[in-house]
Amino acid sequence: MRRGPSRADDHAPLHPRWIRIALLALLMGGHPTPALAAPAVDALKDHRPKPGIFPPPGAGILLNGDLVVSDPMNRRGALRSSQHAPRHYFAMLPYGMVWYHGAPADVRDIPPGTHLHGRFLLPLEGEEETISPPSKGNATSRYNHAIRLEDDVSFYTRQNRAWKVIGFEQGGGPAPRRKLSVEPVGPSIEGGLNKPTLFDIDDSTRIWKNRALVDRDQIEPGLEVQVNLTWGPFDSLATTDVWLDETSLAACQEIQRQRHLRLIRSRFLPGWIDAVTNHDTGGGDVTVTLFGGMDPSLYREIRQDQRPKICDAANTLRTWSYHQEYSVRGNTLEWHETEDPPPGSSGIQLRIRIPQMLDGFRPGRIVRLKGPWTYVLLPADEWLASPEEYEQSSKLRLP
Amino acid sequence: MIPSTPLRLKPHFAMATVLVGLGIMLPAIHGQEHFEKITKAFFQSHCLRCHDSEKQKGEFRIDNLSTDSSNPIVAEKWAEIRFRMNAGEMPPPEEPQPTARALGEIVEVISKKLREGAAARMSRRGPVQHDRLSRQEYAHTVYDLLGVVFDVEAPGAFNEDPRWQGFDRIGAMLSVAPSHIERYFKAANTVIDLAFPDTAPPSKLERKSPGEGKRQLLQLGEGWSFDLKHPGRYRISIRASGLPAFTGRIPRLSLWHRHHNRSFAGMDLATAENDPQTIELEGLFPAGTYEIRNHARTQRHANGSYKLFRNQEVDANQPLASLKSPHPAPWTKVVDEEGRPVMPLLLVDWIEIEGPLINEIDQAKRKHIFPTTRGDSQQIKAGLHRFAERAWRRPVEAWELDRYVKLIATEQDAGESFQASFRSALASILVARRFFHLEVGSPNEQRIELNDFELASRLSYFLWSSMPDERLFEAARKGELRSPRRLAEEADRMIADPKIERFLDTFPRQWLQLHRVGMFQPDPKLYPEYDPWLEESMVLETLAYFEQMFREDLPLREIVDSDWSMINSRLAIHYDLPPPHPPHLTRYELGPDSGRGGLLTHAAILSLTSDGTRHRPVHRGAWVSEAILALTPPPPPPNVDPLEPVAEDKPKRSIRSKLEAHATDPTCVSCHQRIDPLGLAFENFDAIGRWRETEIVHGGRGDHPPVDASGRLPDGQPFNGPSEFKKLLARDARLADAFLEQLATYALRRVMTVDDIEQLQAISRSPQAGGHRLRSMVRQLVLSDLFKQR
Repeated sequence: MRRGPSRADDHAPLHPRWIRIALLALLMGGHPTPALAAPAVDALKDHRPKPGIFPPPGAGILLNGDLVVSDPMNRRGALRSSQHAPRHYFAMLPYGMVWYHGAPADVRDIPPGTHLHGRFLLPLEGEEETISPPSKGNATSRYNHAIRLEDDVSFYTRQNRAWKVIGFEQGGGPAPRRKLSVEPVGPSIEGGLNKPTLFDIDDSTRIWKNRALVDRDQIEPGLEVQVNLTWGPFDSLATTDVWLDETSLAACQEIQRQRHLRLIRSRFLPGWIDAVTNHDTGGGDVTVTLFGGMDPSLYREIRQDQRPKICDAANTLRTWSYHQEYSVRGNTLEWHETEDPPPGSSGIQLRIRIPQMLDGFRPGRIVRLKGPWTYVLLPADEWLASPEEYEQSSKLRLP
Repeated sequence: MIPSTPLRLKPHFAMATVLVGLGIMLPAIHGQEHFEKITKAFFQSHCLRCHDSEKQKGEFRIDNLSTDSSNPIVAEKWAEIRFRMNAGEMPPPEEPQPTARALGEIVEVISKKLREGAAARMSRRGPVQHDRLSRQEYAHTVYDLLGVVFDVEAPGAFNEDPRWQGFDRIGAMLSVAPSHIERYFKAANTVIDLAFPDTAPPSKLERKSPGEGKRQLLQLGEGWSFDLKHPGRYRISIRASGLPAFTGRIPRLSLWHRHHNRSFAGMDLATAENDPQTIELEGLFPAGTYEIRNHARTQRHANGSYKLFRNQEVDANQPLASLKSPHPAPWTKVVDEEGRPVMPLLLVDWIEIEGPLINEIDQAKRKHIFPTTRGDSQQIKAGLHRFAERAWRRPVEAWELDRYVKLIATEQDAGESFQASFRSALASILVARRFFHLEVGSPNEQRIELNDFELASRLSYFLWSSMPDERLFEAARKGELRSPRRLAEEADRMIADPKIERFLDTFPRQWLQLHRVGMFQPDPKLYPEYDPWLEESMVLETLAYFEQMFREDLPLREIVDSDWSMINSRLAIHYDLPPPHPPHLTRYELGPDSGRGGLLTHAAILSLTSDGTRHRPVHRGAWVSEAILALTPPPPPPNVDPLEPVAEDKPKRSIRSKLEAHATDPTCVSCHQRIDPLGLAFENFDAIGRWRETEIVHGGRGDHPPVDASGRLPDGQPFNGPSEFKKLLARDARLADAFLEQLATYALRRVMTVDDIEQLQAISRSPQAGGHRLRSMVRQLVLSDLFKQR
């Protein structure tokens, strides 16, 4: 685990750098200067996702905040980035990836309150109405489709970062709390905390060592740890979990990985259709690119199966009714893998011959593929049962 | 030209005839001693090295062969020896060859020996022959007798009849078990109740429609059902649009019977979406559930979860192109990205069913049977007499009906109504053996010739698969039927009658063993294109081809080689040919490069010998031998190892190359040399009859092997590919003999034997045979002596 010393008190406002620049420009009484809003940067930031095309790396903006609204069925939610900031409502892009405890996950796996880091893009073409503009919108609210969401431990370990324990401190003020003093170890990270920091820590913090929970006294200065965070008073960040060693993190990671496998094996592996060749007897060939962010074993299982089932899915990845029954089995004709796929893509493209095409098997549409997995009947509130239900699910419904 | 090991014999006298024609005087042949002297000497020089007690090559031993030609089994063996010699197969080329004189001499003495035994063999037959009607003949007979549609295939009716090489009317095969009697009894009661009901079912006109302003959308394989409660004659009208797929593939509207699992009527339908067509079908229909079906794929695809999720009504004013859901939907795809149908579609507006229709012709069949005055004994006897004579197809003596008259009285005494009692008597007449058997011969007389009534039945069951009509009975009553002129008149009349359709359907189905088409369903993983409409089209092609040949009286050689076929739009796709116009089954001129022409390249024929996963050249060869040359190859010896699949690490190998490596045993080789070339000639066709240049081999590595369809006939003539093979076969004189033998087997309801050969050849070679034209040969068989004999 990567760790590093120092302390800092700049953890509360987590606005991305470009917002701070924009705010500065506004305070200076004018529009952002050309130098601050270079066309190439803006083009990448304002990249408009299209069905069937994965966005380029770096598209959109980075935001972080606590998950305060969660609609796991439709893979939507809202982040609260600071004490007074409006909620940032978002929908996951169909190929949007979620990580929790360092393993692939789904929105449903993340407890409300978890502090998350996300990359957000403009809405997918055709999905502009999915998230209604908030009454008090801000400049970031229109970037409301997430391509990646991850908790702190996933975010920092992915980028080879850890926290080195300096020690404990007792805070003051109207709500005095015990503080864990840490400094970053590893590279500087865009959108991350790059200075020594104080995290709240109390008896609700889970402290992991090996495969067990341990007492706070196991946190010793000099240890490199990982943390997961949540809301703390006055825009502070409180620790929910502290991992003291790799074994403990690996154990939690594996638990999440297994949860993810169980979810995908019952809901199927998502992808979208790149191309279709209709035969004139109702069958046809569909070329599918599988979405990224899944455990590699799932791709292997689909490949080994050779005869995956395939069903139609919405952009929320929800499927119709008894999705096992509303699926057709195909024969895998081709399987291609590419290196360094764009974000959201697994880099795996397969061509499947299907004896009976479904209406949704059209270029750009979402499908889910079933490998050699056990039959599971989904909870009825999770599936789409009618076009009306689809319509209802196509827009974020505020809690 | 293409001999095999026959159980059914086809000896040739060609060589003997030639020798005599050349003026070579054969020595006078007298007595058993001379026969044994000639044959033993010949066998010693040319045969015993392979066919003695030790080697018995081809499982044929002649060193101890009996000379008792009155024994039919012995006679068959001698006939086979004669056949082999005449065909030039024996002695084989590597053995010392006899002189023409020696060959002519032995053929002659064997022929004489067989003739001597003929009378004794015939006398071994019983005095009366009882040939049970097949269930199909039963159905036709009760319809022609009473105008009743009786569904012989309904659950609990009759079992499928056993077949001998495709023929289901061979007397020796159709036994009668006690269970048959029970079923005949049930059937007779049903038939009589339908003909003479207390209350006839009313004829109704019913219309089935989708909801108001709606049309029923039928995707491939989908049906829209309706029931017929009573069997009978119906008029069914359907208003529908047929929308071709984006490729032009045309929908087939089919009237499908769920229990029978087959189509009773249908048509290719291509109309504009907003210009529906009204189709009218009238005919005889068994009761049951029917579907108006978009005929193609009707079974669950073994390859996966084939399902249709969209079975729906659509707005009549809604363009089909709009059936493209803007969002994900759990439905099957109907239109492509441009709004065109992705498959042939039917849009049905309504179905009208009218019936059962009261038909005067059918009603007339029931007239003068049921007494109009209750208890009138004269009317009772007259009614029973009229019915029994027609049912039993011969004159009936008054005393034969006494038991039925008594039965009516007994039933009434037991409390039954007069109507019910009379119906019981009529049903009993149908349970009599004289009804469901064709009886030929007389108990106290050893006669060979048929009497007039027997001849009338033979003729009618041959051409109509049913009882004689009144005019044929009349000719029999007057004793005119045996006159060649009158017989010819009747044959021509019957051929011109619509009931000849039964012959045109039944004979080719049985002769060509078309019941085997689809018996082993092609594996959908290997042949996803195969569907029930294709399977039906395959059979329809062959039947239509035969009908065309019959109606136009075309030369028999076109059975194996022609430049035309009967193609519909589905077959055109299968054969990779331009679509026919009109799209339904129609005569289609084939180009020189089509690779098709003649029955042997019909998909039905090419697929009926396949096993569902691959083509089987040996089976194809055996079929050609059996059906086209009337030569039955011997069955394979037991415990033959199957062909192994190609191992993944070995180069791909064709079936042909595996067969060649497989048949190394000398005994196997002797048969395979004769059978295999007949099948290997069609290597260019895969298991479902598609043309190919390479053979797709599953497993193994490397390229798929190219097809090798070359070969050499047993007489040494080489061929390269199906076209050359067909030309050789079309020139073979045995083609006509073999066809005639098949026809006679069907007509006489028995296997042809050595004793029929001379008569068959006489018919085949008669000038009246019309240069071996199909209809002329049928006619000539009817006029032959053989046809008039048991």
